Amino acid sequence: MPLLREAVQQTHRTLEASHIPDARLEAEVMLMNVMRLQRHDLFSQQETEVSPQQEEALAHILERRLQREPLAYILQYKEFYGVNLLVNTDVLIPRPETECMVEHALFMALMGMETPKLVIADVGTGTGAIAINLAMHLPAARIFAVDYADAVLDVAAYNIRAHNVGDRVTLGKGDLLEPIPEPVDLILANLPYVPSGRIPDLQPEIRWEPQQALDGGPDGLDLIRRLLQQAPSKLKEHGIVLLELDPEQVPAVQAMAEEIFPEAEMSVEKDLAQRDRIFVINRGMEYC
Amino acid sequence: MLRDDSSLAEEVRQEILECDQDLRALEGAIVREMIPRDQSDDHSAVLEVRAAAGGTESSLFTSEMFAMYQKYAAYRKWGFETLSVSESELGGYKQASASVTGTGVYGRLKYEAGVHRVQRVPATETHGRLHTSTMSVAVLPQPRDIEVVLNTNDIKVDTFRAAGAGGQHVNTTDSAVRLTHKPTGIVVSIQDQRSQHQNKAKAMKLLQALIYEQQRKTAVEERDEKRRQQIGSGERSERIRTYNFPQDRVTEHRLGVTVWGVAGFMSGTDSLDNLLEQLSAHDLQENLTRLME
Repeated sequence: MPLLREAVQQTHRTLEASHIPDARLEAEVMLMNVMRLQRHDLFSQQETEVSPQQEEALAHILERRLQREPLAYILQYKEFYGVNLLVNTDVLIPRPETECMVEHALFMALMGMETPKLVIADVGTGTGAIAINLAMHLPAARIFAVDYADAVLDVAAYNIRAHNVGDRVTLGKGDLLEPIPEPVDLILANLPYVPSGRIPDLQPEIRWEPQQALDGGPDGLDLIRRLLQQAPSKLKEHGIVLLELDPEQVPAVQAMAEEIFPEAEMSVEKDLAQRDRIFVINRGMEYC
Repeated sequence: MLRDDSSLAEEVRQEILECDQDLRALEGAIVREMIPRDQSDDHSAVLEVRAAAGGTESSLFTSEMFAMYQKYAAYRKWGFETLSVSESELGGYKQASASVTGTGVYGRLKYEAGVHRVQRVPATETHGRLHTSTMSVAVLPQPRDIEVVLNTNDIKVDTFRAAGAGGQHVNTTDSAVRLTHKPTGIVVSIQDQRSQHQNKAKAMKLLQALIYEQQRKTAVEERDEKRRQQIGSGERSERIRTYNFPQDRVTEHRLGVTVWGVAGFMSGTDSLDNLLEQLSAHDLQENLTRLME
């Protein structure tokens, strides 16, 4: 029976040989998973033997991973902003860049809002990542989390229940802002924004993800475009819209936004990789 | 009615005796208070292990030392959170660091700082020859948040993502974060499978500790206490301990003490704890002596 450190090394080599990104990290995560260990145990337990059952479990995971199935789908969870979320092939796996959406939303909410009783819309909620984290940090806020399909909302519902925020997060099914019952203070939208033509060139893992959650049409802006058109009637007078997008989409989105919200202040926030990631439309909310 | 002299004298004698004892206790307390203590002794600490350049033995031993400290932290019921690990392709670690939290952690672990030497016959050795290699340990006090105020403008944040659009275009397990403190040039990076948010928080913690250590070292040098803190100064050139596997002994060079049972020592329990206790007592003694001079 191999020792833990041997198993990690072996798995690392196998993943690397297939050009799977972050091979070492993934090898460690796989072993942590089958042996039910915390990260620091990888060091203190490195001489522990991996049992035959654990080896078998590892082999199953590895087999799936070598088909380029994303690790998050195999393990069925993804950590986002410190919170574990259930993921399956009906939802997009949350990206680290989206954590910046949460951060900026919290910053604006905590710095500028007159009342803690914010009403927020999370459009295209997917796993519920954004809605759940906002609910956890803004106890007095009411959040509407919407998406277009039952399968997606089932995952969001599971995560909302798991993190005990069902009293403040309401799910809605429909097209973009349509299910939102009242004008809100804050609209957050991480809508599909990849141009259709780019999708085939992306890494193999992406083929396992729901294509509707990625495909934004020819310029990637189909859904953002429609959201902006729906927005004026669903946003309060001094509300804010946060949109996740690609750096090269900024000029086009700015043009659209200026047409729909001529009096609003526009800005762009960067993600941790220093790329333009969040487009901000501020209708008049003041915050320091 | 006057009491007779003898019982009064007896009462006074008793009182003198008691006052004497109190006086001595207070003197002892004053002396102990006067011994300059490292302000950081109460703090948590950041522990860093580093292999010497070249050689599989050194990196393997480095990973074993890291495991020993993790076990010791568990033994002392301290928190142990790994901050960074850098693997060697030959096996073991090039470098690893952890945040060890609890009361008095630094005051205890500081004696581990220095160069540790290992003597054993490596697994790969075909002729049974004894090899000697080294690794080094650094221990930094972890500041409480108020002690190190970092200006966010001084910190550059970035990730290891290659060129490209990022965001929805990419699906990877890695969410590594790198922080650069511009004024000092200190760089820390944390790679973990957890969220980027968590990685950034860990990186900030490590950065704070490194900056605090730099600030602290400057203050210490200015006060000319380098000699006084010889044992716990974290000077990497000091060879402080030898782990000899064939002879099954650990020799602590600063005290000239030998502990039997390498495996027991490296299990991070009583054996290591006892030695640290001895080092602490020795340190106190040294300080006391210096005070008397």
